[in-house]
Amino acid sequence: MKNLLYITLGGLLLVASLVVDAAQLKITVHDNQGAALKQAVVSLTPTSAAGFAAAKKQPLRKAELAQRNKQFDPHLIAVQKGAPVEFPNFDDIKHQVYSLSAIKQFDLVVKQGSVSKSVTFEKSGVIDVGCNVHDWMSGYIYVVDTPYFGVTDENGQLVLDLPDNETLNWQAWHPRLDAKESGSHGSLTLKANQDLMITLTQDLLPGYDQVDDLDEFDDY
Amino acid sequence: MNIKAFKYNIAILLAFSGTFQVAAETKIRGLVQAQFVAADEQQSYLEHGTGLLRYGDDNKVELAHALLELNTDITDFVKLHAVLNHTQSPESFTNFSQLSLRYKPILAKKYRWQFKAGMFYPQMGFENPDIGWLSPYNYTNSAISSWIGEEMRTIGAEFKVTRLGRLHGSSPHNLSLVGSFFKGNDTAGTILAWRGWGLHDKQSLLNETIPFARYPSIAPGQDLGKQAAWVEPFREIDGRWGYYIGAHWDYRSKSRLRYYYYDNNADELVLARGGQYAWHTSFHSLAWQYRFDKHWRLLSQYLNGTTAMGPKAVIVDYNAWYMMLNYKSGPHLFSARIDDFKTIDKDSLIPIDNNNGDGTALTVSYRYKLNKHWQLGIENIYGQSFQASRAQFAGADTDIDQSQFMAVVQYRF
Repeated sequence: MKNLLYITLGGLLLVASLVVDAAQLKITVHDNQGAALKQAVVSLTPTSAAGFAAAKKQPLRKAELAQRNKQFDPHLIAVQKGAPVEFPNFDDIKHQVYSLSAIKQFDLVVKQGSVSKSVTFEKSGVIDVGCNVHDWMSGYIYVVDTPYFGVTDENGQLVLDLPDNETLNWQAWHPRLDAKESGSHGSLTLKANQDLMITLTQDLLPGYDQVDDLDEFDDY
Repeated sequence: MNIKAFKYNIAILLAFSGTFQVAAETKIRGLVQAQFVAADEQQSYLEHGTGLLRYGDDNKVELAHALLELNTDITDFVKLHAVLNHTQSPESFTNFSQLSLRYKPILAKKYRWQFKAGMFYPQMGFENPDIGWLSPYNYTNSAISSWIGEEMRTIGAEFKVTRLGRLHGSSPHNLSLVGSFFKGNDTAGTILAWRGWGLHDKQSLLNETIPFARYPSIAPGQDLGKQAAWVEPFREIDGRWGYYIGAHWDYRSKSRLRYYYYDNNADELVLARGGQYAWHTSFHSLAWQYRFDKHWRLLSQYLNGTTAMGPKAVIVDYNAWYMMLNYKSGPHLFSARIDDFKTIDKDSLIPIDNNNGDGTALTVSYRYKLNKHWQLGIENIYGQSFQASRAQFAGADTDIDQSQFMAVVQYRF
């Protein structure tokens, strides 16, 4: 009977802690021309010891970089350090996904309709992914060292559940930034739900990475 | 004999796929194309006539293509590519049209390297991206692609290095350089000199013989009497290496340009058995493909060069261009192409042997893709041509009009 009481109390406390300690941050990213920017990665890192400890307890989220219609789909994924990334191939031809980036090099043959073995990344940073069969295929994996991250949607928006009453350093990056640029950063203290507007001040390179309307006759 | 050869080749193909089966993944595809042809009375060069088309004086069903394509990944970086064809024109014959190894390593971060060796097509134009170097657009190739298909094949080695723009500051421009050394193309130019430019989808196969008219100027006893009325396109005659260099420019796959300079470096004074001269042939080729959107694309190519045989016996300059507009929507594919071509006699040693010629042609095709195996289509080609060499035949006109209608069925697997 006593045990049941403790369990009930514990359960209530847990629920309370989830309710009290989480807040939603609605992030909008713009480029320096004022246009909403899709496919921007925003990551937030806690600054307090308690925040770090809580972050460590978050489960790692598996990620996928698919190949569809001889393109990487999506063009960009973000993943936490140590989380497995898989490369499913939805095409009816073979792909050979590779990276020669400094932080992780790999080379995976992905047969038609199959999924590669997973790759994990031990360092954070940008990984440029190509296909040795189809040179035009271009993808990015952005590895972060925090469980709090995401990629903006078509409207340049992203909503994240974050620990409340925590000061967080944020970092925003986009694949069209020059390789020398690390993106924009700043910090905020989160108290209940709030908005964050980010403007990337650096000029973006032209968006030529994706070729949307290739057909079977272009592979020649 | 031919059945035997066919079986032998199938055996080679299967042996190739079998040998590497342990390490490798093999993909075999095939295509058969049959067509009803209604062609006017001009006899085809393939039947020793002076017509420029594959068919002449025909109202029947023809087997245009029967081919097997094999792709074997020997390792993750080495691929065997083979295309085995069976043809019934000019004669029943089976052999490879392509047989090569490709090595594409992942070497340096910013440049992509590719090496090929064997027998394959130089990538000069954009007209033939389908299986077995077929055109997915018109059934009948442009004059330029017709010539490349009949007298040109790289039998040697080629490298290609590509600078991917995305790895160089997100540039939209991809650039490639291509270089090759080859042998076995010494007779290239022969057929242009007498028949002139042709319009067909005939690809020469290994060891195949391509006929043309028995012009009196090359009849036995004449000054050019040692020249046979056929060409063996892949004969090595003088032992010398030929070469080509090329450059590809690709802007977002929207606008693509290819330039090649080809020189077979043949010794024009060498004559081989079987009436085959070495022809010193060189040309520039410039090809452009532009994609307006998902539906419309423009293909174009210009080729300009010269060929020479014997001690100033035959010297012919030649040029040709085509422009094709293609519309694709779901299963429907429309293509319309204009060809223009010319050969210019530059020698004066043998006046009876006049190699001047020129012509134009309009080719219009429609294809309907029923499903992934079956495709139906129709094509009409209309051309006018002048070929001075036709005058060597009594009563023949140097100027002719030709038309050919085809209703085509294609099956692929």
